[in-house]
Amino acid sequence: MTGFLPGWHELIFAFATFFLSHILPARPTVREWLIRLAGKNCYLWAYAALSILLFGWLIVAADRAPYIALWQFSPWQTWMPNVAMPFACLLLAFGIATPNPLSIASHNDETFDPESPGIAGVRDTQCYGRPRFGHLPMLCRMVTSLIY
Amino acid sequence: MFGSLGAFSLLGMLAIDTRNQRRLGTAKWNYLSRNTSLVPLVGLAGGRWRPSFNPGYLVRLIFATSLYIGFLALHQPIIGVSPFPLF
Repeated sequence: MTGFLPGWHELIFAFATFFLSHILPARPTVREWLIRLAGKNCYLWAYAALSILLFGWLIVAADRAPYIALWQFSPWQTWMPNVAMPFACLLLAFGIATPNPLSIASHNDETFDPESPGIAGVRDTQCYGRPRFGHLPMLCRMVTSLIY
Repeated sequence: MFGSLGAFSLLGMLAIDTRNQRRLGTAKWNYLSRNTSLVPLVGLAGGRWRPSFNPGYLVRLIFATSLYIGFLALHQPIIGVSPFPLF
């Protein structure tokens, strides 16, 4: 194989596409224009669907990229996801459909009680809860730690 | 590039805060956010946030538990690797 960073093209492309798809439609001006065009619900569902699709591609692309070990593998590392995931599940379960005007987007913002915000005491539950960060230590490969 | 998704997620949270401050106005944002925190449990440690209970939380707790059990159960058939590697 020749050329610039042989074997890494798909991963780099997947990374760029994922980041751009996350950043561009969320820019306030672009976001407002899209919401006017399609409606808020349609915008949010499309944004979510696109993100999940591209994230899936990112994982597959990382699997296909060259293997580089970043640290020595040892069996205890495989248990880290099992420890981290309950917290991710809790944040997700309590964060979904909870009024939270301080996060990305939510419904029934007027029922939000700043005196007692509930789970919204953590402003961005979904940014933590997306079940990915826990997989980091076990994978022992550069491509995958690049992702997580 | 190491830890890039984690960093991206953190940057995203900061961007969300900035945009909401602009959208709601700083005064209203400060009013709404006075009992919240960016990092989980910081509000609890600082005494600004206290856990409360309402019946809907039970449903969410059950949902969180089933989500976790579901992930554990489906890991082997879908990903092809056991989540309990020591057994």
